[in-house]
Amino acid sequence: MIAAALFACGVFYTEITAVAGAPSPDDLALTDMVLSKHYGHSYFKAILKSSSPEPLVVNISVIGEDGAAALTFTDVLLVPKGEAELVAEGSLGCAFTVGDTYTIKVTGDRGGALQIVCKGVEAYHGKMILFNLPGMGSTVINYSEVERGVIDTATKLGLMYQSITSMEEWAAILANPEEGLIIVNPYGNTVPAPTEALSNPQSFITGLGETVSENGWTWVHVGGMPFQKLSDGTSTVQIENGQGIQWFFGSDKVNVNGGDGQEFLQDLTDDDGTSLNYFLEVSGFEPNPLPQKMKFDYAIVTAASELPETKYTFYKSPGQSHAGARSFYVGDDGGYYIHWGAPTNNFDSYQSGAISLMLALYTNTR
Amino acid sequence: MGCIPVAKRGVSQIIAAVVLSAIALSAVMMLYPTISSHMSRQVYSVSVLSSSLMKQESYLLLSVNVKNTGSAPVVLECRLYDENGQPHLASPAPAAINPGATVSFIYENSSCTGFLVGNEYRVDLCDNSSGIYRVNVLCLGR
Repeated sequence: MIAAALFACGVFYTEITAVAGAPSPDDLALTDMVLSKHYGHSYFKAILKSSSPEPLVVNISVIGEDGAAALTFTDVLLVPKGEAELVAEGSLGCAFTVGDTYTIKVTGDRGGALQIVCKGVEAYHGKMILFNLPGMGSTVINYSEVERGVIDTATKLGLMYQSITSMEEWAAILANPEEGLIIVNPYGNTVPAPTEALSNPQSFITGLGETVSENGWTWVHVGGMPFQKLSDGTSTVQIENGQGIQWFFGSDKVNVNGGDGQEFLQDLTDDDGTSLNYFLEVSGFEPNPLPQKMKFDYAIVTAASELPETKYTFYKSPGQSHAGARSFYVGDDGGYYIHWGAPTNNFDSYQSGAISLMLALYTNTR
Repeated sequence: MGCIPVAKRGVSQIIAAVVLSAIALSAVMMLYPTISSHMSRQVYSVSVLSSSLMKQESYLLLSVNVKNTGSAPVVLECRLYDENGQPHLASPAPAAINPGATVSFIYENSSCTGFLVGNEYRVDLCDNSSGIYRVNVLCLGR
């Protein structure tokens, strides 16, 4: 009996040792997680809790839209069964998009891969495309300053953007168009086009207008005579004045003339948080408010009751159909054309780039 | 007729107790080496505390926390197998884990292909001495 009892004790001891040595399911947890965005400003908060009897040191990263760490906490020390509050915020531009999920990476004494949904407000959910191609140039506007103004504004408003640095990339976007792109052309009267398009400019520009219409794109023209030239970066094709914009809209009732007088800011004062005034404030644009009058070198002219249909008029000559800044519907599927007829007597190229992007956002979000 | 006394046969209670103790003691002595060797034998055992696989467009992150629950040190490599059965080695590789210690394996790739959200993928924890421990991990994210 004693032997049996001793044997049973030995077996019991072995089993109880095994149970005591077994791990808990997980001894590190992230709770109360918040990831929010207000235009270009992002905020992250979480509580890190340890149930481990040992001190732990971990690193935490929140992976941004580009797959790189947008927020990082290094060497976070957790005392046994302790907790730590993680808080970070700052101007992170388009690192996060409202409504999308993001990965939280934990490394160090314990690892982890978690996900969190970004909440908040942003200027636009889609993506902006900005050309940054070699050999394009511009005769009417400083395109590098336009690009700088557009990128600065996109960052401050938290807009996701992609720079197109090769004609192959542009051709691929045209071949497989993504819905809802905002495309900013900083090259004034020159439009980037794949080499094969140069032999038939009308076909290319007409097709571009259809692509804008069918995919809800917004084409942003920042200065000069729109669609006057096509260039692949090596060769350029000249188009007769005014014909390019007519091909784009599929209408001969539109033209672009030199500005012949002051144009006045139209009433855009209703501020519900997404208005132009709010974009100006959030992006820190100067001057704010916008000048009441301005002179544009390239005003767009349309016939009343004819296509293209106007969505918003920003600057217009009183009593005339000239508009230095105006947005138009392109088709019925959310396509838009934004006309900013720079150069102006008030804004430099940087400001023209910034404001034309804000007009595009205003047109899309209202 | 007088009573015929019946002789009491057998051993006394004291002797019986001594004999029984001797038997028990010899039984313990016989079993001791078996139990002792069982208790002191090197046991190879690991336990996966947690594992997660997160995908964010083309970014992929695998995390596996492993504890050595045996009595012998183990040297592990952690491999994640993609849709095509191709292995992806997690860091650290290899990881020496002492009894009672925990290690965290991480595999990270910013341009991954071969993983689909909603599918399960095989993770092997390989040790030369004790063989392979296998878990499946569900790919989450977008």
